[in-house]
Amino acid sequence: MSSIDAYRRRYAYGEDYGTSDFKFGPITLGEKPDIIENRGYVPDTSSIMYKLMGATKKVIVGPEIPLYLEAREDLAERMIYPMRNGVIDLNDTRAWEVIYEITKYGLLKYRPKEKGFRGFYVTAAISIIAPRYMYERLFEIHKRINEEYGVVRAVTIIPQPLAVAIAQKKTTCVVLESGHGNTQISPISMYPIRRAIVTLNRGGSDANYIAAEILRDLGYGDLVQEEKLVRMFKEAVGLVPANLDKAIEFGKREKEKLKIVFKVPGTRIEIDMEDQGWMRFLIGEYVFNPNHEIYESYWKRGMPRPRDLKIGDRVFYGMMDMAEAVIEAVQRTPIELQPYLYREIILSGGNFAWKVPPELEGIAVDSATKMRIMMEEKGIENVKVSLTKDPQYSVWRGCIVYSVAVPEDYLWNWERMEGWVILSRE
Amino acid sequence: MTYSTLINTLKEYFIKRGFQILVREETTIPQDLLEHVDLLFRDANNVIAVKAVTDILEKEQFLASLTKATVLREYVDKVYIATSTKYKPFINGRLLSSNGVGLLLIDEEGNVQEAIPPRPTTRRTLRGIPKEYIDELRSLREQINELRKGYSDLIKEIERFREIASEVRELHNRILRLEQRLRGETVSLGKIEKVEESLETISIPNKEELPSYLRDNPWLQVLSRRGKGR
Repeated sequence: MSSIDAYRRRYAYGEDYGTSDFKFGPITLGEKPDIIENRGYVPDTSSIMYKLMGATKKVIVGPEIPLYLEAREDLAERMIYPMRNGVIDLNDTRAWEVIYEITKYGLLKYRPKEKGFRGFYVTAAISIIAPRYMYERLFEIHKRINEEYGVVRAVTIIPQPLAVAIAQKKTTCVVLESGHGNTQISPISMYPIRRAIVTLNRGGSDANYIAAEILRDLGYGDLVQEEKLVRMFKEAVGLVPANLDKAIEFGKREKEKLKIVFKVPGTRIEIDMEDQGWMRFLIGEYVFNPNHEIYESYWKRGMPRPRDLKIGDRVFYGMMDMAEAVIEAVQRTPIELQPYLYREIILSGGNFAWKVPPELEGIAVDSATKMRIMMEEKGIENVKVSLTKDPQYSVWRGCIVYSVAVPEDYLWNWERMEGWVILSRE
Repeated sequence: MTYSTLINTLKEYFIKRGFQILVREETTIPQDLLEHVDLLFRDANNVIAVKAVTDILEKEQFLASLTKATVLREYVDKVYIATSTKYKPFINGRLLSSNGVGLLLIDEEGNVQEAIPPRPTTRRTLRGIPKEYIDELRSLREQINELRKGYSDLIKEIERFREIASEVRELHNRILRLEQRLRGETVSLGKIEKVEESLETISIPNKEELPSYLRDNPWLQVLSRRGKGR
């Protein structure tokens, strides 16, 4: 019978380095981790505010950030979002300094006072496309924090899709993680099958581009510079069509059903789509498949077209549709495994959170249904697609399970990219 | 030329040159003068005010606009009057130059010409920082320091409460475990040694103590076999 080590039952610790948020904390937090924004503010040391506050820190993280903010013009330059694209440059010292500070912030916040505490078992999750030097740097950061504060007994790093699969309790599955800038398709069978990973150079930001073009078409071109506003508009009006041609035809015929007025929260701005409600389908479809001819006109007028991109030895596909990408990934796995992978496709990340208004059911669908339809169109049947429950927390939960379960004598190995790095042997 | 065309053309002209649009609240211009300003921009540390005049029917009307623009120079660094090229005959250029007010002329195609450059005001150097502002700043600094101290004390208190809450949670769990053990086992003296042994590990069947994602999770078996042969 399996058992959980009593020490780790208390001191397992998870860290999810997401593009926007850093989710962290020990197992004792229960179902939900602590969350701070994955960002750091580098104050201007010559500023009056810095001197007034008597600050000594080079990088401020966590809830203290608002206390140190200065002029608005400075914000973009001094506010560092280290994981915006999932990968940090090796020489981006400021970004690594932010990672050190947020990691330390979390570990010290939950440092227990009990005598028996000999350090946490820390599992950190990062993007599956993260290069080896990111692993090395993260290990170094934990080593440094342990040397300074003695809070890490052992540390390991796992890819975020594996953590999602663990939290969802699926040992054989395909995880689609769609973030701000890209989408990773990762087949998993007890281990992540790294050679089968397919990455799309398309994410939430591309849906923002098409939403911005629609705003321009509606006559609100002056608002598209506000990224946050465009994102809110996209989330409020965007729809995923079961079939784009049929949905557009429906939208142009049944204009009333697609009418929507988007009120920008906290302002008097109201964006009325009037008779152009059919455009709502263009936003959701673009995430799953940007190959429809209707998008040509947007690219012609300057909207960035998703392009293939080569980083290291990995190609990020721009125009590949989501079902094709899943098939491409699954086909890189052993043939006898393939039917099992198609049976558990897990969609994770904010880019899959699309609403279906009751009056549009059948015409608009949720992400899981869309994927199923697309897979069936390509002749793949017996497909089961599900959306992660509590997508915000699932990576952290997977980290906790990993921290609890992996034996202490399973040591880190660069070939298999797994195991513990033991930092303290007391 | 309509007012909105004039305004939009001016916005485009200044933004192209790297100026930043300001809202009225971001300046120190008194409320009663604000109605004479149509656009405000910032260029580095300079604040620029623009008065847009859509139609000038007679010279007196132009003079009225100029008077208001001149007063504005007290509060901003540069002032422009902007109007359509067709009203050029009504405008006294010398009067504008001598008052330091700039002139922007906009033609029907939307081209903007800086006919007269404004003379920067010297308001900052002349005025200096009034004593009451310095006193106010000092008092604000003291208040901020007090708030900071209060905030830091508060954070410490919260940390202490968190620690207590965590200990209470832990004790609660322990009590639950003991209760279950008492309920489920007929204790015999022969078992005492075994009980001590089992304290080292907590077996999975105590499901209700575990978070939902750990309960019945097949990965616990899979991961616990890592390193014991794939």
